Amino acid sequence: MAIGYLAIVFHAHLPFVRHPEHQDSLEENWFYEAITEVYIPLLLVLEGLVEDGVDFRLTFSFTPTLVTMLLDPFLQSRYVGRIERLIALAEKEIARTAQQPEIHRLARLYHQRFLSLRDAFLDRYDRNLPEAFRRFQELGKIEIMGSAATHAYLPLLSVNASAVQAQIQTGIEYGEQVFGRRPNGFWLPECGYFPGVDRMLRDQGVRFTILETHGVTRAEPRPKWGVYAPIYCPSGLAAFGRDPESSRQVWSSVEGYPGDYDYREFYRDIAYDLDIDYLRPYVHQDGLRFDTGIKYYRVTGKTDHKEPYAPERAESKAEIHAGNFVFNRQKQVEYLAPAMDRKPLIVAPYDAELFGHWWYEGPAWLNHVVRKIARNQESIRLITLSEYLEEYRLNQVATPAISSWGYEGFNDTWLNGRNDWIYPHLHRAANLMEKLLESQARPASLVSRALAQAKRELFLAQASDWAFMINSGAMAEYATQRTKRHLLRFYRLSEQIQNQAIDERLLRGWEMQDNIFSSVL
Amino acid sequence: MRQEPRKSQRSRRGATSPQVITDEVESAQEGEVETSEEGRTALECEPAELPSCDEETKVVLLAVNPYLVHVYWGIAAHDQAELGRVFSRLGPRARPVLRFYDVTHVSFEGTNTPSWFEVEIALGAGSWYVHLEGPAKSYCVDLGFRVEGGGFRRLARSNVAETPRALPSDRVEESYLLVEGDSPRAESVVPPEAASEERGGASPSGPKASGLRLPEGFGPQAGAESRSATTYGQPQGAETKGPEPKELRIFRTAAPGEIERKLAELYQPSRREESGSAPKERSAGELPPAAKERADFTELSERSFRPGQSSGQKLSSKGG
Repeated sequence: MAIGYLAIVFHAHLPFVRHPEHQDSLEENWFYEAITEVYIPLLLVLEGLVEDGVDFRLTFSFTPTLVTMLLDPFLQSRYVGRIERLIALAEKEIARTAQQPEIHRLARLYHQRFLSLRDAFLDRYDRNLPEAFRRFQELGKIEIMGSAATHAYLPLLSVNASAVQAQIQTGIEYGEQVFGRRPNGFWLPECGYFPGVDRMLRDQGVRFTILETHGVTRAEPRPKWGVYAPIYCPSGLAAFGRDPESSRQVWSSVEGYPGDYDYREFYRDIAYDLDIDYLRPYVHQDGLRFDTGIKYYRVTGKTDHKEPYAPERAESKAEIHAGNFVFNRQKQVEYLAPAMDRKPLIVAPYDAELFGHWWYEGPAWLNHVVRKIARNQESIRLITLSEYLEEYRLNQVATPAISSWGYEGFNDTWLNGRNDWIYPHLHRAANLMEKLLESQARPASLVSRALAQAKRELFLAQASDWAFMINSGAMAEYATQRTKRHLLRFYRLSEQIQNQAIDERLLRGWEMQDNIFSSVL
Repeated sequence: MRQEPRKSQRSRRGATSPQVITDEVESAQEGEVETSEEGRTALECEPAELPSCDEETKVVLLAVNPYLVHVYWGIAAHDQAELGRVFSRLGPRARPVLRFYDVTHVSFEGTNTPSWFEVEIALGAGSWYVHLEGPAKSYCVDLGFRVEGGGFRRLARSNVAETPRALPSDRVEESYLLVEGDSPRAESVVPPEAASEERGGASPSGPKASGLRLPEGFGPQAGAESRSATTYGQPQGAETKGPEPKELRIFRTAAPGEIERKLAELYQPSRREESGSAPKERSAGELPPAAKERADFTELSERSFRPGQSSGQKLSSKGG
């Protein structure tokens, strides 16, 4: 009989980086890497668990920008081309490394892996990964949460309630359409909570969200059970707090598992080690190097010298780390349960992209965690957050604290001297959008299309990824261009709608490029 | 994480898909092609810079963290002309300022605020960061100028913004909600009385919750019991909405008993022993159960909390 619960939550997100106007796009490559390294490997873990009769519960959130890309036939088609090129590169690597037995063996493994991934994508999943996840939802093994339309950082949009409401509503509607159910849970982008968003979520039928630890621990009044039981906002929305210990075990640069010396070294990709002429057909057409995903070395230590990767050792370490993780959760619930009037709940949310991409062995670790929980112990049981709320419907009322899971836990990342220029425009544009919608009660067909595209452009401008990248300095130019591009398109469309002079040719081009949410807008 | 963002920056910098397809773009369907001329033309004919946001005079307040706020403003052309006249007439005797009103727990009508302070600004800057000393406060800002001798002329008033809390609350009273329903819908949500009362929050009396006790062994069944036993008031909206099982119902539950005494005991600083956080690896029994220590779980979570362990790391590397 379990004395406590564990809810592992994967938040999967990528910004909308579809670039049909470019033959080769580094930003799109983020998406292809994530399919190869994260989404299919995680699906295969789930498949294995079901095939082996392992009972489990996991929670996922997929942002609508990611889902719309996963469902986009154009990007699916490009992905097939990408994985085919990887297979060809791996074949070439098998020949090149013939005299290096350790590396050669790895090249063969990569070749086999890419073949399997291609077959899974094309045959097993018929290119439709959201549908594959939906099937696990239907089996009752996973719960899928909704999220905001374009991963907008809602606290900084909140001066326009309509902007936040539109992000929530469109995100939920799109998720419902794709996954076949209106979600009970809603992933607040970057866990960004502000007072009032709870009511907006309740108005859309949402039952729960997840907050960073201090969103719950600093709630008013003080929660009796810390983050080990949900609180209800006065609106009735349940807020689950992130457990800091299970987060740190995975994320911490000091204590975290992914930095183990036996795990694969992320940065030693052959893209940076081999001659560009050799690589040319497989990297960016302009000769820019980007990760191929073929990496032959392990972390080894705090040194530039890297030893060859040993898959068996890494797999074994993943199992050891899984055991350690489960053991610590057991100890946690054993510590907590006697003092509580209910079974304690440990909520462990992670970015899905950590698993398999940055932490290559992440899916293997997850596989072991789930199996060990199912078979090797009795203290804890995996649970979805909806199930927990079904079991414990009575919860303490407290108003969560303003919080995020970003740097320092507040808004600093998305609002500082580097990116604050965005907000006057986002707020102005949201105001304009309100006025446009008010003035066009029954728009004609063309105006209706222009309004829908204006919404798309505004949604895309609101993506928090741009402010994030500008802040970090990484891809800042791209992020600035994207912000300006969508704002400018929005302004242009709003002028045309106001002046009743819509340039259909222009509109068609933008509809083709920025084609998100065509099924709900 | 072991990844150093700057390493990947090296490999990806300047990599913004520079190559534009000249003839055609793959369309949504594989194998089908469609000219992209409209898209490219559209992109190319877009102006490079964003227009000014100053069509109206306004000021907006945004909290950054518990101790920092950001204020931006815009001044419409007609106000700028007037300001030019004022400043040319008064010179340095007129100072542009942001006047901050502390409107925490105040229904602000413009003059009834208990305290305010001013920060001098350079109007042309368009925005300002202001360090504040008070977390968990609500502020409203007037953009204006102060004239020597004490006069203040307001140009615009901001929204109200709240700074985040920096510490857990000291209020320990408890009240509970029972929320039921498999598919709650907005229209069936009945705001509990607690909502407005709780939000008003300023009242230190708290104890609508005092003397409440959670039913023993509460869970779904216990919750149901408590509903009939201790709910005060009808489930709101139940009469009009009907008792469908899937309907969302919210009950505010009050429980009697000795919870207050127990809470006082629980939160007594002297009893709040060094409960520590669950260590990475420990032998069973090394850490006594929380019950024995009267651990404060909120403090426990706060103590092991490290902000910023999130996508920040992922994307900073990703974007590099």
